[in-house]
Amino acid sequence: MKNKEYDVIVIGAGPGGSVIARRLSQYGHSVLLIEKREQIGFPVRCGEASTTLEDIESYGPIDEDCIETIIDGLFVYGPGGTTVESIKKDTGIMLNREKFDPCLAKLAEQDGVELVTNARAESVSAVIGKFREVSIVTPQGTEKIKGRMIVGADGMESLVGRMAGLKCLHNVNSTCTGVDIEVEGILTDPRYLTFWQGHDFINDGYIWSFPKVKSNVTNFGAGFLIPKSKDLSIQDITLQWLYKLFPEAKVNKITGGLISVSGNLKEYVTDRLILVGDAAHHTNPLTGGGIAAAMRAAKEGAEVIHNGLIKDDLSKNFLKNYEERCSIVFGKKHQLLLKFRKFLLGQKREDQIEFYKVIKTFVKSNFSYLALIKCPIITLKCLYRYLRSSSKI
Amino acid sequence: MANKRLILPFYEIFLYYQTQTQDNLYFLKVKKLSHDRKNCLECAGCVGVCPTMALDMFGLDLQINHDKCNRCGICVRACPAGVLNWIEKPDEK
Ligand SMILES: Cc1cc2nc3c(=O)[nH]c(=O)nc-3n(C[C@H](O)[C@H](O)[C@H](O)COP(=O)(O)OP(=O)(O)OC[C@H]3O[C@@H](n4cnc5c(N)ncnc54)[C@H](O)[C@@H]3O)c2cc1C
Ligand code: SF4
Ligand code: SF4
Repeated sequence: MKNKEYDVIVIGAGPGGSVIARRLSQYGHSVLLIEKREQIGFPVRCGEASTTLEDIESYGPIDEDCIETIIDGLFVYGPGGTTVESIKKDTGIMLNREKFDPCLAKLAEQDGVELVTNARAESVSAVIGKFREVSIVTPQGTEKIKGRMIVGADGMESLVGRMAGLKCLHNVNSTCTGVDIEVEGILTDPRYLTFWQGHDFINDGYIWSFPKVKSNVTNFGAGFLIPKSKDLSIQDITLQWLYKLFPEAKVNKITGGLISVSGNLKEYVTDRLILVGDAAHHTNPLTGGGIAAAMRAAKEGAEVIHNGLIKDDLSKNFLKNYEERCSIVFGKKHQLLLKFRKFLLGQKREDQIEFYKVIKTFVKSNFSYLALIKCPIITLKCLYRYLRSSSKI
Repeated sequence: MANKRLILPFYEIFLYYQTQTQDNLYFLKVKKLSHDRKNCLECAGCVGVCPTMALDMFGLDLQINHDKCNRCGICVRACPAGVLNWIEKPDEK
């Protein structure tokens, strides 16, 4: 570390951390970004599907190599042989996060952020005057660095929030674990993200197959709620499904990780500290996607911190502003999706099949509510159940 | 302080109880968490679910603080690779 004191210390160089660090540096503050791993983005803990190219590019000029595929739709295999196909041009992209994460970090560095890898935040002190002190462990030894503001962007293993006394431990009942297997060749339609969901496959989660066209590999994976007991590891279950669906598959490598599906944390700011991205459980509770949300939260966070630093007010009360902004841009949507997930997964197999049929009609008619009149009884039944279940949650 | 303890959620009381009576619990004495480094996915999932912060990833290297671990077994369930397991603790002299 070049200095002993920074305006902002960002812990974790994932998409969330790199974006917030870069933005704050652009605003003219001194920023330190630390990452405990030696190589940023490696190993990848992700299925790598993300939002539209336009959205991703709004965060800065991304190298072309980072983008693997332009996705034009979804294909879902539901229970009882039902399928849902949704075609929409440019709905999303497949990233190559081994390149994407370092690319974002490099952009941050170019804009004046001091980036240190191999540096682990071991503890975060309470507020001392106008600072918090982070003790940082590097191969050279431990250093105590002062920051006027601390940003915990340390992903789903987040300890920073817990060190500062925030209640951000994952609830076992609303957290998924997932495994992502890189398989050689393209297994499913290269234009689509393909999913398998429901009682016939995996009910409290789903199986995915995402094509990475440039590298000619597929990310095949599965994620579901943490099992109550452990007979077979999640990796073994995913491999079983892989060989069942694609007997010839050739596995390149396996990664995994936790995916929070609980919706945003109740509280993720405190005096002179905020959490961003997975650390604040900013993942989408239906799909488990968190890249876009982490980056969006980082954008909002940077603006709030910038204002706070100018006004010299970084109290919890002021930083609540960040929580409110996140709630408006995606928090409320996530809450709805959470309800929807609980509803869908709570259904018996027969009801789930009916529900899938309704979704299919709805999607086929290009999301026109009028089309639902064609199957009025099932629709009403599903709607009634949904409203009843969502009022309970 | 006494009041504060009363309003702790149930599981926290449970964890508190467990750590307070560590030496009395048979399980704590006999079982110890083991980690198969070779097959670990280095995903840090176990770190995120551990309620006592007994686990931490130093770079890509998982460190277990056995004194902090209360043997709740959550990490064992959550580990996607199934490389965290219980072993009989050899007699420590
Ligand atoms: C199996 C799986 C599949 C997924 N699939 C998708 C998907 O298809 N689409 C999608 O959008 N999302 C997906 N996600 C979620 C996505 O990976 C995360 O939401 C996203 O990476 C969050 O970014 P982040 O910046 O918050 O954290 P991360 O990318 O996790 O970055 C956190 C960084 O902080 C570092 N760090 C942690 N602690 C410390 C410390 N104490 N000191 C220093 N550095 C530290 C870590 O090493 C890490 O590099 C998936 C997740 C998993 C596990
Ligand atoms: S058994 Fe429980 S306390 Fe021990 S390391 Fe695992 S999660 Fe932590
Ligand atoms: S959860 Fe399992 S695979 Fe992941 S880091 Fe921990 S021990 Fe390794």
